[in-house]
Amino acid sequence: MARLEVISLTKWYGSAKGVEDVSFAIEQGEVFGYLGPNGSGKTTTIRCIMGLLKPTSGQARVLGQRVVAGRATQHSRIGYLPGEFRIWGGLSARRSLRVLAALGSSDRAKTRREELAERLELDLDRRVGDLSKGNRQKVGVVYAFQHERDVLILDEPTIGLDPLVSQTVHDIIREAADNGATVLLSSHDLSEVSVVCSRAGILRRGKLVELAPISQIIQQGQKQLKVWFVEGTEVPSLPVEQLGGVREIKRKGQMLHIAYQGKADTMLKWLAQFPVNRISTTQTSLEEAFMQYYSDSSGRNGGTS
Amino acid sequence: MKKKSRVSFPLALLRFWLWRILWLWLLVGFFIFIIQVIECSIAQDNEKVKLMLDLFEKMPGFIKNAVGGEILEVGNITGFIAIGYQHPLVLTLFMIFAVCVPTGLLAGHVQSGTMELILSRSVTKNQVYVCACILTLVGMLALVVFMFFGTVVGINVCSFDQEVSLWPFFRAAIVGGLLSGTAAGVSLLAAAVFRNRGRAVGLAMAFFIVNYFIDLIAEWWPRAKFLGPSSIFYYVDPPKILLGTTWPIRDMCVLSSVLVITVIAGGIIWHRRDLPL
Repeated sequence: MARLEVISLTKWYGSAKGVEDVSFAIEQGEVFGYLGPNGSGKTTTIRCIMGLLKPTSGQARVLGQRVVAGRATQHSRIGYLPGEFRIWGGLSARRSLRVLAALGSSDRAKTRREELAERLELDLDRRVGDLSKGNRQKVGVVYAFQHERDVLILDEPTIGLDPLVSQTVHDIIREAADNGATVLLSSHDLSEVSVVCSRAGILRRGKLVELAPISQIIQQGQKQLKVWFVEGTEVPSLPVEQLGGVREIKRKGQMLHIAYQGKADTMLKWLAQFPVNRISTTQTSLEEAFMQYYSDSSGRNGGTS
Repeated sequence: MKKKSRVSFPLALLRFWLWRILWLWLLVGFFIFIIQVIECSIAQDNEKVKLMLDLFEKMPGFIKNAVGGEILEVGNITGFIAIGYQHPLVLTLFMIFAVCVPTGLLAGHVQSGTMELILSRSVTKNQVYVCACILTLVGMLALVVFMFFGTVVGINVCSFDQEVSLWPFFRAAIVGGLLSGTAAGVSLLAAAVFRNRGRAVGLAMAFFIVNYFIDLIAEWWPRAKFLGPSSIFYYVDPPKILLGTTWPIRDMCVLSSVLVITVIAGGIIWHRRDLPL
């Protein structure tokens, strides 16, 4: 049974669409990546799950219980890191975290807080207002993980963190999942998602356009070829109508950089008509696969705002 | 797995917020207390009283009415001490607390983003609102107690040539407390509506200033007398409270109704609106 479910969730802000008919489910121990450009509806979905926003229709279920807006549904079992983590600037990080821990069951929060601060090299005695952006984000990470939770909802957890600290945060996320936590990870950092998550959903303009294992998303992405034609011959134009799903990325001298979908067979047969000197293929990354969902036919970004 | 968790009342939030507003509460309370003691020390000196009366006689009638009206006459010590209950400075101090506390606790936390963190813990939206209500209304009540206690101390410390009864001041403090509570209710409503603290403060301040001037104009200009009942200040009538022997039940009911309606309306809006938007 899924620990976190989003069922046909729709949220409109007046006439502006937040998300529309979004559905997914996350199992115990799974780290689910939630991807999308700015304004695509990631934070709206997360806030509906947290009961901060009331959905226009549809529902979210956490640990089997339907989320009711404003009722703190299962919050004692959720660790949450908001996308924009802002905390009382006049208090020390330790005091702020202690105050938040006290709003609910604080179980082993103190021990866990110290452990996490040590791992993240964070001085908890400094005023939050005096901390750098990265260090404030570390406070957010400690906040989300200071309790051992069944569900973790993390909105851009490594934003503003350097790669080394990001790596530590990834380790912390994996450890939580290994211990049975269900993790919803919203991120712009595709390398983070490919490293930490087993499955991902991609949002575009408020709609879920893909929901699949990371490996499958990468496979579905466009493959790329770089073809060098023999010196002195003309570099041909791509017969887009004939090949379908193909596009020219770059043309430089005798080199033609092509992106295509499906099997290489058709592409190679077309290339065989020309005097080709050399061909190289590049490994499709999640980022390349993801860019297809980001961009529409005119190449514009796919955000709603 | 399906375990419904019951959310207990967030006393920790109440404690935390209390610590954050304590300095303002103590500061405002201290000044209100001191003003009452000073007022008693002025009222014990007949020369000062005569000087003040001469001053009031030279001013437009509505100013005298604003600080006591017909109860301000030689020999009426109660009337002079009671100036401290309706002095614009005292009203301003009450309004500062009534406006700053609820707008800071609700709209202020929404604006700063910390409300999202509070609501991500085991705290419901209604509980957050109740915490803000408790601190605002109990805080206002405590300020009224400070005010009355200031009068008690002042009367006992200063020597008067006649006996001064504390009962009229107790009645005035209770009615004044209801007026302050009404102000706090309007501020709670404004704080529940806006995500921007400045707007909430602006709305609440505008309400009080407009009400205060409606009351002044209605007192000063006979043609505008019909506007009087639309102001909350109309329902605090110092001569009736200080010279009479009964409680102004009708006025108290009106003020209580405004208080209850604004607090409930604020709660409904707070509950229904999306946060942190």
